[in-house]
Amino acid sequence: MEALVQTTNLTKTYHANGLPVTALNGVNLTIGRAEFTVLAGPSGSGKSTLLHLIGALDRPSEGSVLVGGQDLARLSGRQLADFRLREVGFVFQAYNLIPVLSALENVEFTLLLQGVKEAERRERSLSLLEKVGLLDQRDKRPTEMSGGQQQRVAVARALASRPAIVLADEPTANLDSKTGSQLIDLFLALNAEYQVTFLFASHDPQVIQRARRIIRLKDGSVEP
Amino acid sequence: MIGTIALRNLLRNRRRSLLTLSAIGFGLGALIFLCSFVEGAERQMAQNIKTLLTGDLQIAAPGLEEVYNTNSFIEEPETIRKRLKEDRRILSFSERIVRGGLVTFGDRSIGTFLIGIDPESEKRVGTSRPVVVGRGLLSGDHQGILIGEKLREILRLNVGEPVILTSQDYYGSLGGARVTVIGSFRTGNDVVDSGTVYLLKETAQQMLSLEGQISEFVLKLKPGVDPAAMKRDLGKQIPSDIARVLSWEDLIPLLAQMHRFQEGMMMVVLAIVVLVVAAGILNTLMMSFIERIREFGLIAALGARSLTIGAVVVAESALLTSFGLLGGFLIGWGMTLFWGYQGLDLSRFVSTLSNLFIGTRLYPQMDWSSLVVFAVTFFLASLVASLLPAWRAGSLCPVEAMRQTG
Repeated sequence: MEALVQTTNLTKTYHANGLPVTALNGVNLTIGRAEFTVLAGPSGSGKSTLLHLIGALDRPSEGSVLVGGQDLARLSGRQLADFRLREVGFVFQAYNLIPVLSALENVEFTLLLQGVKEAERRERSLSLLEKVGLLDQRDKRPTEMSGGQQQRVAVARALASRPAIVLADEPTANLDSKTGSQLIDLFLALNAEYQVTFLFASHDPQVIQRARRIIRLKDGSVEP
Repeated sequence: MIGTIALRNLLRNRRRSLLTLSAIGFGLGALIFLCSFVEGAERQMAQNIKTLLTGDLQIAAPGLEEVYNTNSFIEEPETIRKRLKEDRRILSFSERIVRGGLVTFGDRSIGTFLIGIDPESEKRVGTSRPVVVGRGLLSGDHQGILIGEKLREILRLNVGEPVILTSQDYYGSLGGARVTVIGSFRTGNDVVDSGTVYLLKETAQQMLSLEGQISEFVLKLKPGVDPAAMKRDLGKQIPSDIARVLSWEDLIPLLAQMHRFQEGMMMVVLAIVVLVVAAGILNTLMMSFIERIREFGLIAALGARSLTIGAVVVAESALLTSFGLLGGFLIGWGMTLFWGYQGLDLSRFVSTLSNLFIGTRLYPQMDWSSLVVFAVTFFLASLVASLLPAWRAGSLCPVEAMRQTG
């Protein structure tokens, strides 16, 4: 399988109260295209940090991240923004949507940033909302939707820009088990349909059980 | 969509947006009205000065613009007279003699300006002074004078009583005439009302041995003719050693300086109001920024560039200011329209105002050029005020911003 993500000796050290805290410690891993992978591990194991580094939301202290052959460490701030816009779709645990925009506008947002014309933007967004079963909710603002619905809008938005990889950080953490299960079903269906790589950070057993590959992290390192 | 996000964000905290809008609106509205008030006062002052004293423009003997120099005359007025008659921009003109002199009644004497006029020509140029006692000068009043009311009171004169006018004539000798007071006038300006005597031009010429000479031409321009442009044009045509073309600002420099001082004051007031408004906008945007750090982090995470994120903040400021400007314009314009129609009763300040040739009822008038200056200044100030929050929003680290709990 062709490698999409490759990390080499990836290390991230934070400073908390003046003391260094190592969140990731020399992580080496490869993730292939169209994989459906979960980063599993307890809180503080470095799952989210790894996700953020792969998604170019943060820069590593040491080591490198290659996504689609691009070394993220060599990109400028502006290039990193463009990388996030075109190559990555994000689904966060909470506070996922822009509160002043409707569901449809939230999905359209990244397409607008990409400069996609209005007609195509609208068509793609509506199609994705239909896929996630929220076409009839398109005009609702986030506050008018349930947590599960908001996450599904976030999934539609993550896919709208046709990214190479969707990164989801604890996407089911704030959902009840039934809604969480439905969301995983949706992820799996979209993974199959669009052949997009999905990488989750989660300690939700539901997600871990249904992932095709599990990478376990502990204390900032990949468990053998 | 940046505009949509900006607008909806403003609507998110309606009370705060409304407060900022009010600050902009009332600030601009007050400025517009203040400016209209000053503009109305200045126009009234200029109009009254022109009507009571100077006409639209004057062509005066060199040095006559210096208030205390009344020893200059236009030696050959015919050339200028001919030119003025041919100029189609001039509706009419009159000729005057201006000379310093002394008016004596009994054992009381007082220094005055003696101004020789032709009543008919003065009517045509639209200059007149309200008569309060007796009547105005007529063409046949060769031995009559019209004096300022204040002067009449000082000399304790009554209409019909004789006075002696004396002055240095053209040759340096003492010239004089025994004349009768036929009336008194009041301009409201104490200096004019206590120091001016009007008599017929012929009488003045005879008394001062100035046959054929005059001190100045007073011009009435046709409607729509710009006095400043006319002044420049005539100034090129008339050699400055023969005569000078003067506006009311040249003739009464103190009031012209006051006019410029008021303009300077308006700029100071504008600066203060703009600073207050800019501080209000900055406060609103900073509050909004702090509340939405996670949201800006999310937008950055989705791939928005720093400039795009900053543009959202700037757009909010621009929208807020635009609505504020619209409101401010409506407030200022509405107040100006209302009071411009009703007039503001300023009779409490009558003494001060009349000395400035301003009436007791003032009619504010819109000064559109100032309005443009205000609007542009407000807008630029709001953009400058938005730069700090825009920069901070644009330079957020997405991960750190999304960790914020605020």
